[in-house]
Amino acid sequence: MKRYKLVISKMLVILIPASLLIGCVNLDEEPGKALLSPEVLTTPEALDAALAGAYRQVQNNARWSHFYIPGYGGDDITTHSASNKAGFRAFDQRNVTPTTERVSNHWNAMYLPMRSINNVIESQDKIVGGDTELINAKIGEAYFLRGLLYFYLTRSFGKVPLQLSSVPDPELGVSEILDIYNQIEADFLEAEKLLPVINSASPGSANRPNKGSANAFLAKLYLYWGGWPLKDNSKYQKSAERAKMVIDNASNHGFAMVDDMNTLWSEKDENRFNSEGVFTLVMCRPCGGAYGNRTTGRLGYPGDVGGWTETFAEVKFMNDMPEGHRKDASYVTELEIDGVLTNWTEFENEPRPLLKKVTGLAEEIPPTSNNSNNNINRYFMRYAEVLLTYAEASGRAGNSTNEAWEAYNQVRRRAAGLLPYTDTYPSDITSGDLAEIAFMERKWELCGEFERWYDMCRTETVEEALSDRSQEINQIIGSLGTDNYFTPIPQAEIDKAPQLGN
Amino acid sequence: MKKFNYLRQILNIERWPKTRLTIMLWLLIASTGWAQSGTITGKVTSLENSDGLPGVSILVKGTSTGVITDINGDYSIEASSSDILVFSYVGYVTEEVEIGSKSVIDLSMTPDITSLEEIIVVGYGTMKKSDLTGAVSQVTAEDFEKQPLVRTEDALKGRAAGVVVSNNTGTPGGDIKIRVRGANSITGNNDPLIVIDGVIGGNLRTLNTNDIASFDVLKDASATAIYGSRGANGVIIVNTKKGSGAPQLELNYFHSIANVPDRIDIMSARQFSELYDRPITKATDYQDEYLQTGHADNLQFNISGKANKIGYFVSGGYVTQTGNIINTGYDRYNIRANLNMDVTEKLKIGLNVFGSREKRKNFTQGGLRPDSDQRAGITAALSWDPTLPPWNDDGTPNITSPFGSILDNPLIVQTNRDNNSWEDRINTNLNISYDILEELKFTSILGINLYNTMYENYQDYQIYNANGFAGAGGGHSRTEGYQWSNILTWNKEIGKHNIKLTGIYEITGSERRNGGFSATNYIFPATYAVLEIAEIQRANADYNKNTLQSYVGRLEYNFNNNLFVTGTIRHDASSKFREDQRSATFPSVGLAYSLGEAGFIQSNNLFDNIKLRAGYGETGNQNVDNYLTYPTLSTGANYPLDGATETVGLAPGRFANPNLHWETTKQINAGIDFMFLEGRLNFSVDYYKKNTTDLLLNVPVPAFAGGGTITANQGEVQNSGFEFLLSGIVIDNDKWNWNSSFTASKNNNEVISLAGGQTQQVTGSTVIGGTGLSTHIYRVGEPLGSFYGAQFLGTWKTSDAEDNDAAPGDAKYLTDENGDLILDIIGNGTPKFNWGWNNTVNFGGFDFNMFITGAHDFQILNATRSMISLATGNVLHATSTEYLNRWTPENENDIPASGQNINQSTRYIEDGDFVRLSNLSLGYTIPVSKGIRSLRLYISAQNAFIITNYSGYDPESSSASNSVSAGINNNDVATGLDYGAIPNPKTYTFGINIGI
Repeated sequence: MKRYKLVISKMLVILIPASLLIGCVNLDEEPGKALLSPEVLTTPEALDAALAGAYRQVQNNARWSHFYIPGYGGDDITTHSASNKAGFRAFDQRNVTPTTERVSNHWNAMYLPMRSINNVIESQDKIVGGDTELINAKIGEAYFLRGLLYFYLTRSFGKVPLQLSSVPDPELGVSEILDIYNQIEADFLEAEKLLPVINSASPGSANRPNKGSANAFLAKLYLYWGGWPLKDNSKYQKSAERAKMVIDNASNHGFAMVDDMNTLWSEKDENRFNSEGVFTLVMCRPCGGAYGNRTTGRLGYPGDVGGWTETFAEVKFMNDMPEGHRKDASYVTELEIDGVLTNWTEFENEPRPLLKKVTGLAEEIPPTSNNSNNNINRYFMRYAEVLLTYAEASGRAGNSTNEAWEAYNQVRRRAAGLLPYTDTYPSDITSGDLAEIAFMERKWELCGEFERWYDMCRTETVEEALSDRSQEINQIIGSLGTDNYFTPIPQAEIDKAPQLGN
Repeated sequence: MKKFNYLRQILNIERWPKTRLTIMLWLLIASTGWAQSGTITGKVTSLENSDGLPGVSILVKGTSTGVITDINGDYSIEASSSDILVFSYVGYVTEEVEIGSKSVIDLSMTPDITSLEEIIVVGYGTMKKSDLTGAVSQVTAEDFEKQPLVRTEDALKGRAAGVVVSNNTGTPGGDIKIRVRGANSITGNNDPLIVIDGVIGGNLRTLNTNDIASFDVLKDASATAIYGSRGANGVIIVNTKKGSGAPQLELNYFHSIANVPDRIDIMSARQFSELYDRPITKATDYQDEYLQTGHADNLQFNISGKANKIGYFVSGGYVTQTGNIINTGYDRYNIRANLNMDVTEKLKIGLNVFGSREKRKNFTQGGLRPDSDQRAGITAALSWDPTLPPWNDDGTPNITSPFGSILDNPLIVQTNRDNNSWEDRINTNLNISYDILEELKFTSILGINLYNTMYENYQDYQIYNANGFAGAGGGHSRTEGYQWSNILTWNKEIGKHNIKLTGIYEITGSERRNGGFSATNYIFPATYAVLEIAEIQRANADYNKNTLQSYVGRLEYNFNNNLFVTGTIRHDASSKFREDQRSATFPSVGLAYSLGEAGFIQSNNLFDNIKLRAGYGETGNQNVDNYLTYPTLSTGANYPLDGATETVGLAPGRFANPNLHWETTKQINAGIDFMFLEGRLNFSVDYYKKNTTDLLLNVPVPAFAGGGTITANQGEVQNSGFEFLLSGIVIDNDKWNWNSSFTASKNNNEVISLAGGQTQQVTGSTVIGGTGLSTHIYRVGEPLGSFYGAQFLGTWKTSDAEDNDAAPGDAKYLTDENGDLILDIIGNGTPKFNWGWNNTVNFGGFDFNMFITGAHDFQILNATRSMISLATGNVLHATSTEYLNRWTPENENDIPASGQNINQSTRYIEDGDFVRLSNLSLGYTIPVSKGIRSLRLYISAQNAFIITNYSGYDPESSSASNSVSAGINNNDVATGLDYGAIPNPKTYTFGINIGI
């Protein structure tokens, strides 16, 4: 008995400290010591950070060519005939499938920022303190970005899931295109309501969108709404009205075309922060490698000078374009290779004309420089486009007013190297089918900006434009009909969300 | 009664002599009180059967008085009650018996197959090998001491059935992959648990090979369940050496020379120049210049012994290695002191202190590649323009070339790289054991460890780009871990029943802090230490803490030395999960039955014993990041809103899953052990099947719902297979001794289900060839490690090209009716069959070791070859000599001359099967001279010879990252990828071992 008492006392000596320790073990994590809780999004400072995060996600995706990949289907842009450009080539050849490379990147690029954007929108009522107008302006920016991305999504894919929450539902199916257009309209209208007339924090006219930016995109949305696939002709008038609102208030919004088109794709701050951007995503290469533009610079050059041979110009389009200032500002046809000025036809890898909107200015980004990551901003819309939208929509609405002709002529004047806003020149055109004339002008004006493909789709002119490319490489493989206008939803996404495959 | 003695002997192996002495003394004093002379008689039998043992020598200790047992094993000897009898017989353990008051002493002698090494460490205790119920593989120092090893992991390779050790990279200090019975988890960590001297979560890489006494690998769940939530991937228990006996000093040194195996056939500068019409500036063999001969020096020493009641083992080691890629290297220092003190007869204290430092030069991604850019490294060296030297005669660099690879010149990049990292570890382990009663023992193990890392890098980008800047980066981390295990063991024999109960309470935890910084845009190039002059400076920090609390119980029961039962139960509670999901219980049971007593065993001369084993158990995996159950905002989403300066940005972070809980692996195991020819030959076979359910799966979230992954308990993976071990003493006579052992394992892996309606997920690298295609896929019904790609059909011929929109000579792939590529599973990168055959021969003073390993039934995606075979991605011109024989209109063969080069295609899938001479060594022990206990000189060749059809450098090396990052465990789902993988070198070693 005594022996067992001894045992018990010995065990107690051991077990007491042990039990003390048990009491100390805390198995609850303290996430606050390691993580930032989503709950912190209640102050104006946190809202600023959330908005910057949303922009960052847009920029991080829009800095790559795959963001704009359907644009390679346009008659203005082509890509290398081999190399690792198969994805771009598939669009160029109208041969895109759910497993075509970069289709996934393209899809992801427009969806991945969405959660951040929704997060900002949802914070609207949670922010305590601060200037309500400033806070609303920031919420308005988020609505604008969401409208913009869904517009890009439905232009490319047609029916897509409408994800409007920061706590997303992965089982969501696709929405009808009309519903998507309605949602985009609602977002742009809300943005228009909340945004300021001009954003004083914006270094250029609209690196941060303003009311004018929202109206300009509404005008563009309605222009598309009038065309394929919804073909609601009543929207052309609305398009013209919205564009007119932008034009009438252009000076308040800070919008005006620059005189020299050559300055538009410049790395220099005095050029890139200009008045022409209706919405322009800023890049900042000196701020770090992550903030540079990778759709421009070296990747527009041929292999002969160490280029990445990603984005080239189509020959017929270039040949068709009227000569003049705008053409010179759009194309590069000669390069100095090993000290010899060489015409594009003599390039070894490979013989294509180059787009100056892609290569940038040779004096800033020399052809042989290693600059595939640069400081050129990315325009989502230029003021010139607003003018042309106004002209075309007015024409399509049967309302070709003098103001609409004037808008068209402003663009035309600058293209010819004349001062755009100096009243009338003898060469101005003021009669004819304004819709078609403005549409043609848009073709030349927006060449190489990844817009042409969508313009061909909404006007159902893909077959007309592509059946005569006179290009020996990247021949058309797929259908040129409306059955092949939309990009298929990528298989990788269907793997994750099988409901999208139905 | 005899059995009873035997059991006492093995179960109380450490304290038996002393305890018995006490009892004897007590008996002497209490009952007899004085010494008596007389005749002692008895019968000596063998434990294996009850037959008498003839010819056993019986000596009175300290005298020359002795007799030999007769034909029946009987003896009679004159001795006094204070004498000790020494029983000895070849092949049996010599035993000493105090006579005391006895006049009849019967003895059952134990066959000498049960040396100390055959004590198996089973986790929180030991077990005699013959009592094992589970599947446990043991590798002892004796097994690998004849092989010069820098890395302890290599000691396990091929020597433990079911344990696959893959040297995925030849980089010194690089990651080595170890898998026990296949991979359980798709996106989680599949590394086995390492337990060093009772402390969980150690690191094998830093250990000194000569410090290791044994590895015990717990494989089946009835053995690993004692480790509960961390046991699912198998457990490797390492015991380091303890000091005993007279002082000894050992000094070991070797020098190794390592060379990359046969070069890959690429064009010479002349061939390249002629083919592409490019003038030769200066012919440069980039492959030769990029690779170099590696050297290693390895010095280890230890002093061990036992003075009074203190045993000591003190060791130190130093390794310095240069890699096979220029400007890479690895240094390691370590120091160990293992002390064990017998404070009293009942109280024992052990203290192990281990410190190590590693230093690495230009080490990236676990040593898988020299460059953080997957496209660079060896692949860039093989595809770079051979007509252009890295530096011109005037010293100006040739950074890029319009021919070959468009990447920066790999020689310039690698020469100018200056990345350094350090890892320091201090592990201390205090072990206190106290015998409360004879049958009740308490042990407390307290382990405290500290792990600090630091890295610094500096790069002057102006070398590459006139507009570039100098930049630097650095960071540090500090991890403190602790473990406190309290173990109470009760052991009792009742008649033929032996019962052992173990109860454990344990807490473990770790806390990690790390910070990093980067500095870019130096205002002018300088050096790392003045990164303050950089215009852009960024900092980041991180904090992590976790705790695990466990209760464990184990019952070991043994009836009559025939029937063995082990049952364990472990209850774990982890801080990584929410309170209601936190706790889990992991049970197991193992049974073994020994047929040693059965008639047919007794009556034949071939078998000594046959043992049947079976077990079932459940184990877990909680190896996920901390805080996963909480949502977060992620930092680092900064953006220069004004185009000039960054605004701090935040974005919704990874998805949280508050319902997260354990991954559970249920495993059955059945095994049979045969023992032949008095233990000279052993054969074991095990079958297992394990199903891992509720996988901690990083379920991919559709991009429209935010993308990335959410960690959820979804899906199931199954592994099943066989393991074989055959070991024996082939020759054992006065002159010759030949030991041989063969291990083999076959594993079948299958994904049973994934999350929700998902049936497949592409995975692996997407950067190869710039196509954006993934290399791998995991799919329900298929094993992990499946390649995903196109079917290569040769070339389009002149006759059919035009009708198919192709040019003659273009690469041709299988397409559907729309002309779309058909992508499917085209191979698997994980070997299904692995084996090792180890032979050690001693002859006089010579020793010889030959160790052969093999891996079979797997493929390799040779993306290194794809990048040099046809223009693709960042390579504009093929450099492979095969391209010289490409398709021509005159010779329409199947080597494409043009068209799309799909790297992920059957064109580059090759059989990876190999048989490799892992070690061949010859040593000579110089006869002992004065002052020196032993002196051995040896030469060795490692990986000197390989049989394989694989055309790359090395079928074992792989480019799949070992880290579980971005929700992808590339090491098991993207196996067999050679994309500039760094080969294991052929190594030649000269060494000397001195014992004093």
